Amino acid sequence: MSIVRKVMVVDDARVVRMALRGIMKKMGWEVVEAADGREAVSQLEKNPDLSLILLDWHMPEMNGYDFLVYLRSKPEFSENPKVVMVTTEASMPSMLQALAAGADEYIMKPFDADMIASKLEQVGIVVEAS
Amino acid sequence: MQQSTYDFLRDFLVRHSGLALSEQKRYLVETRLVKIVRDYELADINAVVAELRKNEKSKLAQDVIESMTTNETMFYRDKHPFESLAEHIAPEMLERHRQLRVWSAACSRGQEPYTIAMVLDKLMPDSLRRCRIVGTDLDEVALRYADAGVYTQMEVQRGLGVRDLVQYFEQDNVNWKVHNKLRGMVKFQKLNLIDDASVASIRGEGEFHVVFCRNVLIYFSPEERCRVIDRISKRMVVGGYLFTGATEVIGQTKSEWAPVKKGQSRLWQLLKSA
Repeated sequence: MSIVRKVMVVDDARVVRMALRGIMKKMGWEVVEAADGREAVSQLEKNPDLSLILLDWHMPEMNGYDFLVYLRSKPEFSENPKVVMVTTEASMPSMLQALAAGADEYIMKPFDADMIASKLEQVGIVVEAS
Repeated sequence: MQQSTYDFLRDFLVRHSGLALSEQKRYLVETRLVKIVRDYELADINAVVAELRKNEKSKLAQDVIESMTTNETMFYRDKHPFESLAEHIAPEMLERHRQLRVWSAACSRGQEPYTIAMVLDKLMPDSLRRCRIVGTDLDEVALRYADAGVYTQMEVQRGLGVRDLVQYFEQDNVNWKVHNKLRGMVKFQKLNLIDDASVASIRGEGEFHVVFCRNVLIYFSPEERCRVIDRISKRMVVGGYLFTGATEVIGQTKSEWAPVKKGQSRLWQLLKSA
């Protein structure tokens, strides 16, 4: 039996959250969701045992970048959970900015399950076949 | 597709590319050749074969070979061969040789040779001078793509981490272009592994210390597979290493090889060339 790991999917588009939820559940993950950075903050308080966050950039209220900066400013979250940006923001400067702020990987939308699995391997998460 | 059509195609592909298709690969032929039917505005696959029978050296013939031999590739495919290269093989070879020469023998769109270039560049500051990578393939369209070094957003997100992307690529509109430094380490050339003269044509590159020939041997008949490995052996230094696909085993070759394990990778060390 493998340990069920928990991922938070943060995206203001419900359809994207559903797609990511489907992919992650198939890989055996427990999924929590947030529709913007502010919701992500309160989900983080309720779920300090997250091992991964899939994080959109552009969202109302608090955007993904600001949430990332907030997350990494907390000593207990300085390295974990791992953060993979999942965004339409597809420019090199944005990537560098996210990496500097503590993102571990970066996915430019659109994505598919193989791409997610490939990026999780990059951050040292072994993907188990569903 | 009529049986005689499929039989002709199988025979044609073996003769021109060494690709040995089993009876079960009929679906593959049908799916891959749909594009040719469309591009040439022909009625169906039977019509493609009628054209092939008239002229086996035509543009259409070349397009048929290319559509059947192109494989999906990605950066860092299978990962462990590149870890093995970085941690074991390259350091061992560079201790003995001033320059490291690597041949990617079925490189398709170039992801494998550029991955090798990234791996080697991380190992040494003077990689451009000390490493030489040659990528070869039968497919001219794929080779032109590889040589241009421009990949789509989807392609650079398969196998490649964001840190490699920002370090070794530059943004080219919606695409991503390989840095000139990596491109300077890699050279591309058309080569047919089942043709003695074609394989001999890379003699000018010197003998290779490492050869990647992965996921291509499976397409050849057992006899042709042995001949391909023997041809490759003639272009290698004794003591050099050959990476094959995980399930591709060297059989009754004239050349002699020892199976070795380096890190997570099982590969072959050349003891005596053919």
